[in-house]
Formats: sequence, C-alpha cells, structure tokens
Amino acid sequence: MKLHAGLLLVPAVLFYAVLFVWPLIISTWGSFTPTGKLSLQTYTQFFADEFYRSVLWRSLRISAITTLMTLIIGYPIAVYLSQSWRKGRSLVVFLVIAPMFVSAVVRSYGWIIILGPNGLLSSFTKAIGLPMGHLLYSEAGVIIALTHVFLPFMVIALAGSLQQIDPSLARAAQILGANRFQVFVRVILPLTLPGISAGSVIVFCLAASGFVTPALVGGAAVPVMPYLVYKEGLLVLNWPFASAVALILLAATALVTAIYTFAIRDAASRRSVVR
Amino acid sequence: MMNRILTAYVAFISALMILPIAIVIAASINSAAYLSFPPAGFSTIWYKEVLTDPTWSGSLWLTLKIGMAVSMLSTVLGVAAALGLRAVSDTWSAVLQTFFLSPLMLPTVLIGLSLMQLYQSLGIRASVLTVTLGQLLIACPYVIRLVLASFNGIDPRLERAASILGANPIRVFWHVTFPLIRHGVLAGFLFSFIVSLDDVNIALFLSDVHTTPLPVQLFSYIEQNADSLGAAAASLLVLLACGAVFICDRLVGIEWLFGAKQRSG
Repeated sequence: MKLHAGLLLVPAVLFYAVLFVWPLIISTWGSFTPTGKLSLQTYTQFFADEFYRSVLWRSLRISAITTLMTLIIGYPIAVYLSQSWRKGRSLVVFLVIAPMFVSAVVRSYGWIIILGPNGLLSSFTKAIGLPMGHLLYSEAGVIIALTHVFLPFMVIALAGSLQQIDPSLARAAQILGANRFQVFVRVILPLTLPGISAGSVIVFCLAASGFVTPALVGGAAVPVMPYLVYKEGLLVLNWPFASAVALILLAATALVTAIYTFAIRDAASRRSVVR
Repeated sequence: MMNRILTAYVAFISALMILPIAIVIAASINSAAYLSFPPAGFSTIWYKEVLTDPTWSGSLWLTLKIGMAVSMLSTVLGVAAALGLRAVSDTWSAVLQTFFLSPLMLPTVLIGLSLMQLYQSLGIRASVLTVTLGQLLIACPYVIRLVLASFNGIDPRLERAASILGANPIRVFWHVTFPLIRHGVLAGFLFSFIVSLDDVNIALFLSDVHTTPLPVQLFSYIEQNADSLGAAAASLLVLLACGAVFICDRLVGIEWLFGAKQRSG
C-alpha cells in the first residue's frame, strides 16, 4: 500500500482542532451563554457600562498612536537600511531589529526604570532645570514603551517595500525636474504604501493585543482590553465576560484594520503616479 | 547635509532602542538592592541569589524545559505539516496555510483564556505539558512558514530522481529533502525557543504556582517591586535570547529570524 504524503498533515490538523478550534468554540459559546441560556447579556453589559467602553476606546487609541509613532520614527530608519552603500548598516540592523527577540517583560522593565519617579528621565529633566512629573502609570508612558517594542516590525515591513523600488524611478523623476521633496512625496511614498499598510496592520494588531507592556508600564491606572481579559479571566473568574471582552477586542481590531487597508488601497490606486 | 542628519537620527534611535535593555543589565550588576544613579558599586550577588533561590532557579529550569519541549514538538509538527502541504492541491494548501497561521492573528490572551477553559472543563491540572501545548500554538505557525520558505528554492526533480533510483520515501526525506531544508528547520527550532521564552500571555493562564516559567514569574515580580534582583532575572532572559539568536546567526544566518517575524502579521 502506498501512503499519500498529504497524511503528514493529519497530526497538525488534529492538534489545531483539539487545542485551537475547540477551545475557541467553548469560549465563544460561553460568552453567549453566561447563565446557561442563550443571551447577549455579557455584550450588553460591556457596551452599557461607560468604564468598559472607555477601555475599548483607550485600547484602540493607544494602538493607533503607537502605529503612527512607529511609522514616523521608523520610516527614516527604513530608508537608511535600504541604502546598501551605508557602512553602518549591519550595526543598525542589530541595534534596531535585534531587540524584538528580547522578552517584552524585560523591555517593559527597562522603561519602568527610565520612566519611574526617580528614574532616568525625571533625574535628567530635573538636572537641566525643567522638572516634570514621571510618566510611569500614564498613557504616554505606555505609548512610549509600545513604540519601542513594535518599532522593529514596522522597520522590517517598510525596508522590505523600499528595497523593491527601482532606483532609476527616483532618478527619472529628478531628471524630469522634480526636487527631492517632490521625488519623495510623488514617487517613493506612493510606492511604499503596501509596506506602510502591512506594517501598520501588524503593529496595530500586536499593540491592541499586547498585555505585558500596558500591564507593567500602565498598570491598573491605564486599563486596556487585554488587561481586562486577564482581570476578568484570572482574578474575577468571570469567564463568559472575559471571553466576550476578548472577542470584542478581536472584532474591533479586525474592523479597524479592514477599513484602514481598504483606505490605503484606495489611496494607492488614486495617488500613485507610477504603476 | 541631509545625509548627516539622517545618520545622526539613525544613531540616536539605535541608542534609544538599546537603552531600556542596557539599563536593565546595568541595574542587575548594581550592588545596591534598589536602583540608584549613579550605581553604588559592582556586584554579581543578585545573579547568585536568582540561581540559588528555589523559586527563581526552579522557574528558570522550567523555562528551559518548556522551551526545549516547544521547540522539538513544533519542529516535528511543523515539518510534517509543511511536507504534507506540498503534497495537496494549491487550493487546499492555501486554505490550510491560512488555518495554520491563524493563531498569530488572534490576541494571545484569547488563546490562553480559551485553552484554560478547555483544560478546566476536562479537569486537567496545570503542568509543564499544559503550558507547552499552549505555546506550541504560537510556535508552530513560524516553523511551517520557515520550512515552506526553504522549500521554495528546491528542485522537485532531485527528490524524484532519488526515488526513481530506488530510495524509499524515508530515505528520500533523510538524504535529499532534509539536507536541502535544514536551514529552515533549524531556524524554526530556534525561533520556537525564542517564542516560548517571550511568552507571558498564554503561560499566565495555563500555569499555577508550581509551574511558573521565568517570564511569568518575572512579570508577577516586577508588578510588585522593581529592584536589582528582578533585573538579574531579566538579564538571564536576555542572555538566553541572545544565545538562541547567536546560534541561529552562526548556523543559518540571522536573516532567517527576521524573515519569520516579518511574516508574522
């Protein structure tokens, strides 16, 4: 008897069915049957309460600002990395990209030390005569830390699409009389829209579902959706509600990324000079 | 001029990227228990403390065990699945690939929460195995992707030639296919280890006081106190991740790891 190589898929499919699909069905079903009977109780409870709505809004806001920050900070770095004649390229790759292999717990701890009451930042601002409060347990602190954690993902996505651009296109635009700014806005930027879109979606989703960084740098003062899932699931032990919160988070991020991807695709088809 | 500004900017951001990690390592070799500027003096006492304290050293040991188990199981499952994907039609292959990668698209807290509910409903107690199986879900997709990517450059005629010459499927795999994809397999193995080392969200839901891996233990500790002991434990995690990245760089080239993360979206 000759066995089909497709049978090699069986262990993985079984594993996913039992430990991925089935648990998701259990928790989804649980979120609709909090008291044993089918109802939308957990979902109405979430949207009726102003506190929960504010948590969802905060999660989306923090993720959106983080995405924008990584995009703005990351773009010049991606430009630098895509220029193969740069001598310091491999060092920059190491310094900017390698931190993503270091646990988020460690990196958040670093930010606690920097942003804390007697931390590096407040010592520094005091020393230069511009004392300001500390940023630990604030939304700004969480956004700074998240930007640090997810910048490498954005840089990789942007550098990938910058590398694919034919350098002769920029030269052609220059010969035709465009200045550097026009070359960037009319040629380079439109061509990197797919990279911007991909990088933004990755960073937005990861930031929205990130738990460790907001929990450590923001704590209970800056509750986000994953923190709510953790609190309801492990401390309050209200599993139907915890599942509902997680599913609302999933639906909200899916909706935002779908609208965003659509808008970018639309912009790309209308704005791009070069196809 | 523009060039110089760009170089200065990139240098500044590079320094900022390393700063939080460097500062944790600096704090771990500070002889004072609490973080102080400038540091009180050099000391390795906190490392000694972490390595001799039963709770810390126990969770470090557990992390290594779980990391190895996740790496081995995800490599076996992932390589088998990738081989299987080659044998089915393109449509099925595309559908199944999306299915296999889908755990990466969900919030990890949802995966942890729902697995916890499954275990509870079946009466399964937290153990090394429950954490390992949970982390497998976020490690396996990377192995499948990396191995599939390494299939891309392979000429299928090589395998056909071997089987025409009389090699059975196992010999074809071991002597022809595996040597050609071993970079992807190795990168997948090491990447799985890093994924396991990085995971808090899933392990948090699936572990109890007796089975707390180091990242979870460290997470709970830092929530309460930011001191030099925590910094030493954190530095050990950095060391482990550096070890895995270094081995990968030596054996297959670091760009494999970047490739895996890039496709994680």
